[in-house]
Amino acid sequence: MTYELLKIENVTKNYGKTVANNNISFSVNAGETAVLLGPNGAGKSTIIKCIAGLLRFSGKIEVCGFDNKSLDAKKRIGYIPEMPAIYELLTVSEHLEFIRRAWRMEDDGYGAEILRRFELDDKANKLGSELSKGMQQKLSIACALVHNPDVLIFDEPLVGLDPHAIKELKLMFRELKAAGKATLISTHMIDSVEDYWDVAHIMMNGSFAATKRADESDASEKSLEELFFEITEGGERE
Amino acid sequence: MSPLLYLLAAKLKNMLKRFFRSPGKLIYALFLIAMMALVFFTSGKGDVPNAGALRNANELLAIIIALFGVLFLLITFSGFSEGTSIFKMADVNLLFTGPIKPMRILFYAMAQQLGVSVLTGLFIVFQYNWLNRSYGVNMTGIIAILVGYGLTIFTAQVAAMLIYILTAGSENRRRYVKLGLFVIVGAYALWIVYNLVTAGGSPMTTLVSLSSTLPIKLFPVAGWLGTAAFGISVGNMSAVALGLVLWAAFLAALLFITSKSDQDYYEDVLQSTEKIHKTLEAVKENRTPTSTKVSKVGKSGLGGGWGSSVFWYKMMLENRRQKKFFVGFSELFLALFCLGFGYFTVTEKTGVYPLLGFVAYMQLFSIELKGIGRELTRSYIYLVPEPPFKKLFWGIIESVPGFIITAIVIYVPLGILKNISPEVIAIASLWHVTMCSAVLSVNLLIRRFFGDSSKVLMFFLYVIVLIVAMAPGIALGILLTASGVIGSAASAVPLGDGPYILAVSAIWNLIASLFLIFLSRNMLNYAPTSVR
Repeated sequence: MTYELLKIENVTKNYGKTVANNNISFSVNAGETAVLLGPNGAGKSTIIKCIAGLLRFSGKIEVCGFDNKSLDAKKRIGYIPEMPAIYELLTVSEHLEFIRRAWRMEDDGYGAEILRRFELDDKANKLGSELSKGMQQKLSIACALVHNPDVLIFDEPLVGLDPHAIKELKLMFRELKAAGKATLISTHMIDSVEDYWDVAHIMMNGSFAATKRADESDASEKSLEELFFEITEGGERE
Repeated sequence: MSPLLYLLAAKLKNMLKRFFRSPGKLIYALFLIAMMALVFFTSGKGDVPNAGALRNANELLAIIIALFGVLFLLITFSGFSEGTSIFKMADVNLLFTGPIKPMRILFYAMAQQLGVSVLTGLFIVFQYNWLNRSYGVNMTGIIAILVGYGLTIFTAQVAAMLIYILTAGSENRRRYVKLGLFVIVGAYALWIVYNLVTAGGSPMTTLVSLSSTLPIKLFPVAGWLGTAAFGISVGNMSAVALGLVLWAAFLAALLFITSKSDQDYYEDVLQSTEKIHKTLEAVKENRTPTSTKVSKVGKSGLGGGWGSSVFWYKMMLENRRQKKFFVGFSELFLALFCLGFGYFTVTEKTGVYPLLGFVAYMQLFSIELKGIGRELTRSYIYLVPEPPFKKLFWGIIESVPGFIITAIVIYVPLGILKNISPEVIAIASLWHVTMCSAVLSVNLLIRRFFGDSSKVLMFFLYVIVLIVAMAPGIALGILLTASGVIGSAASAVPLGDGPYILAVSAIWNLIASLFLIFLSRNMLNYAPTSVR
């Protein structure tokens, strides 16, 4: 039996007269990795921000059965933004301590493990202002993971990461899946998600143009990449 | 400890630690503290002006209320556009998405902002000398003005945020609230104009006398805090109490309405926070911040330029599309501030020199390369096959119309108000334009030799190079005037006669500017890695 940890129902988001998301519905189950694909401006980041509770919208978003704006929902969400922004005056380890305090959690050693895996353990006492863009992105991911959320939403998570961190993050995606977490990843780079997605939603102009499940593919069907370019470029590709 | 308290404490602790680890910042801080101590010490130990020698204290009240009022209205009205933000992107990413109540996050940001607001007003401390001599303001009075300044900015930001939260979702609400505020401000403006017309005499005298009337003292926030700060300076504690009570009640009302309104303010501050973050990131990376405004193309084509002069035409075109007409708002505000300073300090005895000194001093707070700075972040100025001196020259020329406009804004009204001869105004304006050009050239030279290595280093070098570049002109002017080669020793200072020192200094500034550009020319041989 599947359990919907993240449920989006008829979500519409307008910026003035511009419709950024138009009546979007989907869900992500426990142990499932969903990806949002689409060109720039398709509305991926907007729906991600709606789920993270940063934007108002019409419709309904539930996280583990709680309204996404409630504190109960926020306790269960980990959000990795497209634009990593960390506190310049907090050290790496203080960021994790702050998150633990905010989520009212004791230190279980998981934070240190994440830092080690992302090769940030030797930077634990470095200030946020001393970190490179890539390190900031790793710390941003660590902050989202350290409170062990049930639902993780990543907005372009691989941008700016070094090869080791990309390898480690892809491994983490699989571990999250095995641990029964619901993971939603927004990206415009198909290559980066090709080997670990369960369901892919292709977005165009604020709506879902197609949804493809990894387990229902057969030889006659188009690959995710073919489907993507058929939708976004009308089948034209070099 | 609550997570927000932990966050504030950790940031404060690390700020202090970082301070002591960075020699540059430490030296800069010590320099500022030493300057402040010097200002206090020299002013306090000098001959204390007797009460009869002081200027009308209401002028001080007028200055304080005008400063607070302009700041309050500008920041408050920003709530109708993209709003202002007291949050950082890290707050958005880590606090907004966390299990912390929105109101607590709001209070955390406000507490943090209050400290920042007070720090931005430190320039007020450096006005101690002339405020002490002109109005007898003591150290407590200066601190009161500084705190009033910080509280004004802080309250205005809270008001702007509330306006944004209340009106962001509804065009009608936005219109009504805006109309309401315009009615209040308009009523005050009409009342002031009515008084100016009916009172006759000097407009400035009327404005000064109006500042002590009840309606002005009751003007929201600026009137209350201005009266309170002034009350501390002159020892009027009932005015202090009244001002603070009104301000506290207003702030409490703002917070009450915020807490009772839709607490989902995250979206409302997200856009402005993102915009500020992108701008700051761009500045850090030496990039031009990307404007989110859609520019109208209008008339197309550069309209002129050949070889290196094409840069000037291109920059003019860009300015037109960005609706930048030579001077930015901050430069205009600074010019008006200088005009106000000039009105209160320029006398028959001193001539325009205190104002010119002040104008040069204020340039220290607006060190930037303007249009040429933007051009140096792009590859074209390095690639165009023209002599580098000419390319830099045309790049710098773009800023000159702005210098001329600020000179007109400062010196022409001052000349009319103070009855200064047109010749003196013309020469002072010329000196202003050439001084600003010299400042820009000094910036260029420092960029040429030191890049963007350290802002603190830049500041120190800037002051030293500026003095080295400009001092010979002033010295030469004094020498020629004193020796009677031009003008006469007696005619060097008074307003009515020609200030020959200035004329010689202006010519020298121009020569120095061209020489500095010449020295900087090789910076175009290699583009820095940050160039796009």
